[in-house]
Amino acid sequence: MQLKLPARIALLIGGTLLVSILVLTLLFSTLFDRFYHYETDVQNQRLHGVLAEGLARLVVEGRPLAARDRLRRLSSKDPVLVYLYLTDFDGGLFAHSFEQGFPRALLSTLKMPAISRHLRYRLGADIVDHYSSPLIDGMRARIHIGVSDAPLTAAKLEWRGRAFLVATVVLLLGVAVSLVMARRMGRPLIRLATLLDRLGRGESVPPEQLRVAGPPEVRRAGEAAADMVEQKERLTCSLQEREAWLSTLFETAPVGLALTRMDGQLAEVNPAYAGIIGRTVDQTLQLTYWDITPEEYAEQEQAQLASLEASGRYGPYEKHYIHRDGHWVPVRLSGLIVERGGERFIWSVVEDITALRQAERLEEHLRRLFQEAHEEIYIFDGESLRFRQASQGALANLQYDADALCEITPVDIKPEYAEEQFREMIAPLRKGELESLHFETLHRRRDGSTYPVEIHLQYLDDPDGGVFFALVMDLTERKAAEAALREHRDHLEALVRERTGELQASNAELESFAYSVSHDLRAPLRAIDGFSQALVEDYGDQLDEAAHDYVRRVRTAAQRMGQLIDDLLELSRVGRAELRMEKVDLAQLAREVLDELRAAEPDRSVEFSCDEDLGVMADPRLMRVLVDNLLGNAWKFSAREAVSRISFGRLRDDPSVFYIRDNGVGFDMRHADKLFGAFQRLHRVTDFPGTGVGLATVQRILRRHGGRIRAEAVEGEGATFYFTFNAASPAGREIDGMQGESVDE
Amino acid sequence: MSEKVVLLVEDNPDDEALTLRALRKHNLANEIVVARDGQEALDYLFGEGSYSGRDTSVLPQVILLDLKLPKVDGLQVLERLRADPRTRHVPVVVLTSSAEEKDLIRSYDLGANSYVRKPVDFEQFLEAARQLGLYWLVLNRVPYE
Repeated sequence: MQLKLPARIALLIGGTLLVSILVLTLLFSTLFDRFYHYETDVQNQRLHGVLAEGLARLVVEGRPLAARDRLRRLSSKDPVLVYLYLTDFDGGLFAHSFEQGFPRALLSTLKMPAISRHLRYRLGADIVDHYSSPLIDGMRARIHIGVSDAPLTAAKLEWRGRAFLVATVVLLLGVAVSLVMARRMGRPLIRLATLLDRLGRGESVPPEQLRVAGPPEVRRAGEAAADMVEQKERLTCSLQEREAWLSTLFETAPVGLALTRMDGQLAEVNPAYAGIIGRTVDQTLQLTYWDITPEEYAEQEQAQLASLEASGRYGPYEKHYIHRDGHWVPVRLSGLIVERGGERFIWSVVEDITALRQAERLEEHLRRLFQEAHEEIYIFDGESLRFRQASQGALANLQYDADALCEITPVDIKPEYAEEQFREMIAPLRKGELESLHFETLHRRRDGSTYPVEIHLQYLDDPDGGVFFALVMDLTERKAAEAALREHRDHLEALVRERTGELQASNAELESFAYSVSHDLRAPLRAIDGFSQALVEDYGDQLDEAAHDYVRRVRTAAQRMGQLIDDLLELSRVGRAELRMEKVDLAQLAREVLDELRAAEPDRSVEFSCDEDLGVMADPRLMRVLVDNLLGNAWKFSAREAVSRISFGRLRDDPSVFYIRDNGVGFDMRHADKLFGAFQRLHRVTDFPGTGVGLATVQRILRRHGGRIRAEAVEGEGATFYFTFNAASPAGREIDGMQGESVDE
Repeated sequence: MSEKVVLLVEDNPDDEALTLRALRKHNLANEIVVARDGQEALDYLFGEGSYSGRDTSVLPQVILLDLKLPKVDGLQVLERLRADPRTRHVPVVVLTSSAEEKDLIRSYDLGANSYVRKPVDFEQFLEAARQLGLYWLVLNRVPYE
């Protein structure tokens, strides 16, 4: 387990102190020893110096006992001196201070070489330092002194105790101080370390926390760390901003940007790229590059890939992508290899060049159109007026080649204009007051001939000098056509006048013919009838019954002929008469007609039903003829019924259709197609009188009103006539269709 | 009261015969003067040509006027009659084969008093003549009687 920093510091300081104290103690102890021995030596020297002469005399005098006493006195005087003994010239024991004889243990010292001055050994309980030296320099007799070590040891022990006490106190004090110091310094340091640890783990630490209180160094370190953190934060912030900005650039870039793996898988694309191929970004990321590349490009792609491998770049080159809907989109792309996270990608910039292609095509088309046009198109300089370009048609018509034309101005080919005049005319175009100018004039060819032209002039301002566009139409043909047209029109008008005149004459002739018919054909008939009658009246008694019968037949025939003429004239008048459209109530007319019919044949029993309000816009006179004929027919052909039933009204389903129905003899529908032809009759005259012109007249009246009529009948059960005034209505077309055949005037 | 004269302007002899027969049958006119064209009718009325010297103060009780006439047609005759103060009030009955409406209208425009269409059927013709005579010769009064 790691000790905390203050503990470690205290331990370290404590240890160092301890070692220092030990070393000092050892040193001190040695010095002490040395000093002590030195003191002893000095003492011995002094002792020796004091004793030496006396003892030496005693030795020389050979007085051992005196020496012994002297030694014993010395020994007793100084407790430190455990013993003293002297050796004589030949090293034999001369005298000693021992009371109980010379200890065996010291026998070895007697023979000790003279040079050994000092040795230590244990004597009894005592440790004795043994010193030996000649009594006098040069004398072989020696003195041996045993000095007890006890006082030294006691002193040593005393000193050691003191030193130990001091050392312990110092040590404790040192450790305590160091602990305090270490804590004071270590706490902020630990705090800082913890914070830095957290930073290291990637946690976020507010920089103010890093600014810890404490020793200046720690404070500085904290400051530095806080600064670092702040700087990092600033950096991070700016990095995030930058990343967001770059992302925006990527997302909103107007060109397609794509990151493609080397196998072609699209890894990242921007919306513009997806847009080029008509997909969303997500859809696009499901694709590989090969999915959107037409097979035709396989070879080219390989070449570009090779270039990419070789140089790290490819393009720019142009190809097509396959759009989602299948069409090919022209694109220009270029790119390079980039590395990210150890993987290689192709970074491509892709541009949709559809518009460019279209513009190029358009430009090419326009260029060809301009150059090859058979029409005359000119471009000339806004300042000098010199021609810059002209279409084939222009060159051909004017008989100039392109170079020659560029030497002249429009004024040169316009005989009707002087330069000043021309410049004045086109000035509003240059000033922008006028968008275009149209005028007609003449153009002069190189050979001097002229032709009429219509000119459309426009001005295009350009920084490189404005130009005029002139679209010129050769009016030669148009003028000719106009002249021809005028001639045709004049001719046509004359023709129409002529024909109208003829028609009017023919109409007049017809009228006069009808007048003659009316007047002159009837006169002989009147004579035939009149004189036949006169014959009967004046000569009746001379005629037999057969003669009377013949005269009757003559008169009947004449009268029938008269009726035929009248009916024909009516038919003809219906066709010619001018229509006077008024509001006419057919119901009112029908009641009048029926009243007349009743008056003529009051004995008939007829039930007549008529809708109210059968108003139409029509010619009242012709309506009278129409109702006369239709009701007259209904009256006539129902004459054999006990009770005639006649009805007149509008269809409920379609109020534009009128009907007149009777319960008379009807007719065979197989002959319905003959019904409306002039002089066509489905009944014998002897059965029912009539000329066969009435329904033809009715039909003609309706046609003149834009209407139609048809009939339905069952033989023996009656007939119904349906008519409308609007042939274009569904009912009108139905009537048209059912009639099968249409009789036209 | 002077004799009642009827002037019949008619170019067709058959019609003339029949008209005369019809009028006489009903004893409607003492004297019937026949003019065979428009000019003759005018000559009679204004005492000119073959009728020069005629007392033009004697005016017909009624003129029966056909429209389709040689030389001067009936409408012109009518126009001239109505334009002249002497003959302005003479009743004129247009008696014609024409059923043309424009003739009818033109006749009335020019001041005809009646317009009668000659029927083919002689019995109807007789009836028409009878009614005409009855009305114009018997019932009607003229200013110059």
